[in-house]
Amino acid sequence: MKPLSPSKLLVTLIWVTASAWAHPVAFEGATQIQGTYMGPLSTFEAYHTYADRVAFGLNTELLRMPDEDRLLAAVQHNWLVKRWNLKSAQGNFYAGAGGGFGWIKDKKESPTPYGRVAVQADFETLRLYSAVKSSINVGTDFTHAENTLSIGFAPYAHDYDGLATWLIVDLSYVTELDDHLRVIPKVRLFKNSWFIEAGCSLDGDPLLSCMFHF
Amino acid sequence: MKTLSILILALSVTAQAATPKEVPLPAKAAATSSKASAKTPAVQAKTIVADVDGIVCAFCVQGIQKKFKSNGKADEVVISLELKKVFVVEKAGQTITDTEFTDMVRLAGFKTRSITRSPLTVAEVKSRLASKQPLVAQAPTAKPVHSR
Repeated sequence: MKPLSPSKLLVTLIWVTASAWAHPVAFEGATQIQGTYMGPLSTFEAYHTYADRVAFGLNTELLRMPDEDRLLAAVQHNWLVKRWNLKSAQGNFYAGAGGGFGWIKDKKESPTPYGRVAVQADFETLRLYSAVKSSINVGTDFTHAENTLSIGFAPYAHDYDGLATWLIVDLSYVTELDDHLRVIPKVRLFKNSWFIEAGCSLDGDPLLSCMFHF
Repeated sequence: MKTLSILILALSVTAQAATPKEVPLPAKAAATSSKASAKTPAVQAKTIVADVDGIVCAFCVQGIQKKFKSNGKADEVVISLELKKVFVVEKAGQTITDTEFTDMVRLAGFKTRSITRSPLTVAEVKSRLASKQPLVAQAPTAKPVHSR
């Protein structure tokens, strides 16, 4: 496994995008749980915001690479580094770091340690949002980075007690997994403390994601 | 002199008619539309109305509601994403100061732009905002008289 070069690492960290509501840090006392299935990449995350602007939780993922499957599980600490509250919009910058163990199926019998760093930035209004998310997992036996850029809009205005519908396009690239940019149109339904989203990549991989927040 | 008195009276009446006034809240309406008033009908509802920056989704709303709930002084918290406003009805006998209000909104992650107080219920406040009526009584203002 080749480690990322400094330039690729920099590009990876700068390239941001993500889900507007899957914030790694919520309001104090909140817990959020999110599971996503997207063909070769499945993730499960659970974070608890234990104090103002800081959260701690679990990050797991299963990657079905062309020549191996990787199962990763890590604990992660997240920080809301900066929030911009504007009259009709909100912008955020988050950072996260953690560590855990990864298993490479059929190649390694025992798990090996790895470290993880993530950044996320988003900007959203009631009708538009954009976000970038990037993470890198560096282990003794593997290294890969995951990057997503999301752009979406709401076709109608909504208030918090109504059902919000968002039409979103994700551009995703996972090193070692993808040889091209993955384009994933999806629909997100968002109401009160949960959202579900469904879509399908242009390559034919289905996407299903669900988040609950309490 | 008599003509001048009539002219002043007419100007005064015109000025008062042109100035928007707060309509007193009917006691019955307050008792049926506000939880606080339903518990204590003799006490008139008091709604804090604040412009808050940064609220864009339901999760933002929940964060603010949770903060006010933990404070224990709010009887009702309603938030309008469209209006970018937070409406808080104080519990009977409780007062949330502007500083407390601003701090709670800040701890929820947002920024208070302005705070006003109205004797109206939340439903009435929202209705008035929708019809662009004033939330608070405005003192009659004397218009300058220009002589040519």
